[in-house]
Amino acid sequence: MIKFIDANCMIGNRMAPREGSPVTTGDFLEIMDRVGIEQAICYHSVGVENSCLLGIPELEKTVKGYEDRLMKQWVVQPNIWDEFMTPHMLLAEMKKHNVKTVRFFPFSKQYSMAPYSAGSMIDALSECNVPIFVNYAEMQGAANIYDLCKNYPKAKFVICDPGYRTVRFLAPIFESCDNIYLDSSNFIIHNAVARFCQYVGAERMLFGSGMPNASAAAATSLIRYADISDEEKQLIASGNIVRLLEEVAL
Amino acid sequence: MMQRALEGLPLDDIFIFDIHGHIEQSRVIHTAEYDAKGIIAKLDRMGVNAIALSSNPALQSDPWLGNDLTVQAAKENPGRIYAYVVPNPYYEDFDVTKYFDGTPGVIGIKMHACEQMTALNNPAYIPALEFANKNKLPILFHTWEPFEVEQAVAIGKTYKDAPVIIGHSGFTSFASKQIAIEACKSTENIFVDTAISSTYDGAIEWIVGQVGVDRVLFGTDLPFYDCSHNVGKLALSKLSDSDKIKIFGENAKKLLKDII
Repeated sequence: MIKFIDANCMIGNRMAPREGSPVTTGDFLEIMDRVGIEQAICYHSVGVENSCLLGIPELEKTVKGYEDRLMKQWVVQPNIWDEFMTPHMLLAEMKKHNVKTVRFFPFSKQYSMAPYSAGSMIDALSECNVPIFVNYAEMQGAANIYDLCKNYPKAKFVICDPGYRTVRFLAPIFESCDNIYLDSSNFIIHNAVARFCQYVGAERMLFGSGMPNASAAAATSLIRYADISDEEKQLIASGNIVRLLEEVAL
Repeated sequence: MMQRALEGLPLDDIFIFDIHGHIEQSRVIHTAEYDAKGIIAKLDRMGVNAIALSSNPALQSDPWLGNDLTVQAAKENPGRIYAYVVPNPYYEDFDVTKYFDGTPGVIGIKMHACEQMTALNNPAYIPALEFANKNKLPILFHTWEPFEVEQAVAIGKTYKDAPVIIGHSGFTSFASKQIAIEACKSTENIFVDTAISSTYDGAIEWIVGQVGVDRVLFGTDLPFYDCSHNVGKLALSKLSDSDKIKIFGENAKKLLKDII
């Protein structure tokens, strides 16, 4: 059986849960058990919908008691006018709380990922090999993703929730930049996983469920049924994220 | 069923009929292996018996070229590919009825008004709708926005002899869903499908709870969605196996009993 580690999961109470979708930590764990996901890297809804700082303690509370299955990911932002944390403080707090990945929301939170804005934060994170997650839509266009990869060649970026209309935009970036990875959630077009492996390589894709806004049942099936080797499936399902996490040096 | 899905095995021990697919390349979305051969290979991989589809060229461009391609695929792959013919409201001389000349596998009408830059209540669609109603042919609607669902429902309530399928089940907004659900509850001929755009765990269970399992049909929107996405979503859902079997194919078999 394939071992799945979910690299894209949002937990916590959110403003508008969709009808029938998971809400409680128990809901998420039930789905993970049912569809065969061992662990998930989770960020907190409050960190996205409201405040990065408020999201951090909420995440701690939400995963408490389930740390063996739910790994923490912090939603972060540039420290504009001391609104968040200095890069040095962030790294120290991440080490203290055993957090190995972060996620930015530049569009929702209205800031730039360019070096003049997020540069010190991203440089500090990349010095420690911390994988940086950002949703495709949050980057407001593939050209900005290209710039992100080129501006920060030492950083490792995971582009999440690519959706089904992005291949023609993203494929050339994967050819030009070796510091970018793709989350498999919502990468749903016909044979897309197999074609990604053929043209880019399985080592550049991370399994993600996209829960609660996407389906973990569907996401795991995309990998299980893909016409790729068992070794490629295992790399995508968990091997790649395990490798990235092992490389983190806080 | 769940165990087979967890092992990535084809669900070939049940009847699966996909009522919502497409063939050929799309203008806006990267597509590959989009011909009949590529589609049937995917059906085999998943254990899907057959698919009913319309062609992207018929939806996006030349209605003669596009519909000819769809019908050709159905002719060449009997029992595996079924064709929806797409009416076009801009050409008075384009006649959908000519495709229903006894050619096996041509089963119904697909309507995608927003792709054709018009509305479902365009009067130019009426001849195709009347033909479908007279011959009890299924009409599959692309619907996302509330006004699209409203217009599809209005057609379903007018042409009561035609099975009407609200494609995507109105899952793009609360209002769209509510209109689709209310229509299923208040009519005999309106159905929803599982090609739920922006789906999530719990969505299928929720819609079944709203409209009843007999009103839900299995659809993938292939090749925009990989077939495994929708097969897995249903097979690994919390529904009972008997409900899953109905949705996967038994409902479609009953609905299309004189056609497939």
